[in-house]
Amino acid sequence: MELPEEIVARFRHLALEKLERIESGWFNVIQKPSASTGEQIRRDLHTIKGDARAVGFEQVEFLCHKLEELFACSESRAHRVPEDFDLVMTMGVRFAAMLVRRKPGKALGGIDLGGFVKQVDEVIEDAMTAPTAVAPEKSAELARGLVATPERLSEATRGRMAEAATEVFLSSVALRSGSEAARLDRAWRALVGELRTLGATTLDRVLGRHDHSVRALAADLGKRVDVVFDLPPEPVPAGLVEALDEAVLHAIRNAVDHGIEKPDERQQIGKDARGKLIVKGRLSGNQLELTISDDGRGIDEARLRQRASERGLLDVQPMSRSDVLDLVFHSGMSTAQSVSEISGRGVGLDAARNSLAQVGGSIHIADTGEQGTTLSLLLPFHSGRMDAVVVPLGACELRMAVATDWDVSYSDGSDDGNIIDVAELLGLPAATTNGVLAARRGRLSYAFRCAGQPERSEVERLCPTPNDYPIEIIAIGHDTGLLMRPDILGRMANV
Amino acid sequence: MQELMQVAGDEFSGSVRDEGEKLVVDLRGNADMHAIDPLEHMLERVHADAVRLGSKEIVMDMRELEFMNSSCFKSFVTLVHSAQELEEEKRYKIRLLSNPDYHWQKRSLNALRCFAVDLVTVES
Repeated sequence: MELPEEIVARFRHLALEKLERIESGWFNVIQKPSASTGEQIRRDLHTIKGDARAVGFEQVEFLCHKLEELFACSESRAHRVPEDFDLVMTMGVRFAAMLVRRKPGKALGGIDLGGFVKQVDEVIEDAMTAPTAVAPEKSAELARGLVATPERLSEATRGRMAEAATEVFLSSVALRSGSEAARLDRAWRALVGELRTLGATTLDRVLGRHDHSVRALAADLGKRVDVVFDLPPEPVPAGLVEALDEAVLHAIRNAVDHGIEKPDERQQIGKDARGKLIVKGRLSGNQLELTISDDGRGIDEARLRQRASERGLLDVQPMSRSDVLDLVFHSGMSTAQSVSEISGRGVGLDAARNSLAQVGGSIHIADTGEQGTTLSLLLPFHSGRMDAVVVPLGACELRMAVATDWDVSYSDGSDDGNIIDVAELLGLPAATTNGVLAARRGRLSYAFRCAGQPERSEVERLCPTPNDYPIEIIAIGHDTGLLMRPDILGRMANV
Repeated sequence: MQELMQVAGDEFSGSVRDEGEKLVVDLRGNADMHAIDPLEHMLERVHADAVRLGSKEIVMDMRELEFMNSSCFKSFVTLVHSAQELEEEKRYKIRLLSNPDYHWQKRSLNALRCFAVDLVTVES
């Protein structure tokens, strides 16, 4: 049903007035943070969002929701944000004004709302992971974009850099001694050092940004929630953190939407008006353990059973309490009475489980009751150490290693023409060898010249290269050696 | 080629020249608080000249523009909006030449482009 034009006109008038106030408020608050100005901006954005929803201006509603997130992010950093943050926020207000002026439901034409929102999301992400915050009074330095924001490093780029570092290593080894060898030695060590830094990140740099999204989400729902992070400082591989990030996002949204009660409801049952979320992590052996605890109403087990029964998920045999609780991770298993734009479609926790499963992780309900719910997330965490079989290469005092998923055996030298001379293949000085190392895996079988008996040893991967690259640099005790990929070397040698 | 306009401030300068079917706007330095008025005035003139001359394109060369604050940026949003509001036969394209060394340009110019992806392109 089309709304009367006067209602739409009134919405436009009021929204544009508020947007103008937001624009000037933002300009003031970025120069000098003020609680009252911030409160006004929040209120205006929230009001425009609600009004836009009422009159069918969905794009305005969506964009205002993103601007609320953007503003919450800025607030959480006391408005000490990079310059591009300020530019995107200012443009966002103008973008909203542009959408307000358009006829609702009309095609956007050349307006790319999705593209703009993507810029907003990236700005938020960068701001939450920026290593330094810039004081607003340093506007000149701010202007010159001196805030360092880490750029993402793709796996492909990281792999190529690792290959380059390995080539430099080989060159330094081939020269053996002298100033050139020393220079190349410093070069590959510097490259490896940088790669190790780029390939990992700390949990708080990635998960910490959920602080602002929790606040924005809670505000949307009329709730008040504080989130506390207690995370280990050790770097964790970026791929693992990304999977965890997605799972944590879904779990947190679910906790805020379903678990934590509204302030008046909480106070009636003797709880603090403000809900609490605690995200705690620790590294234990080869495992990363993360718990997400809320002090909400807990999972309604009876309703869960009912929902599962409706979907035919309950077995004929009685299910244990933990089995029933595990059903929350099944797709479509929401027990919410209605679907909100936040959750309730039952696609949150199953997405969390899928995200973790892709990296070998898991999630389960550790505890639930009237005082809240605790989720437990587990991920395998490998330190880069592995078991290998190590033999002397016979050139440049290097040792080479083969992973233990290959069956290896040693024999004295033979004249079999299919023996691969790794030193020659890698352009190293000729090896003095009297042995042969055979490596087999399935139907694959290769033989390599070596200079001594093999022995098992733990090695550390210093500079992981792509799986289709023949070698990578490893540490064998205090020495540096090479991890071989027999199949790739065999292909290089046309064996 | 005809130079149409020049502005200069403390640390900011801009010039506009007519190159036949396109206007080329060269921006240099730092567009800070002192550049707000001159830049706004300049872009208003650029729009007017583009319409008067029937220009098909405005090229904004920002490769030497080290910084632009949000107040100055609003003038570009206004320019894009002005171009959108023109009748189709008078509408011009806007090509932004950016410098990848200036981090602020990458995000903000791409965001600006989202106002009118049919009219605005970003090159680096």
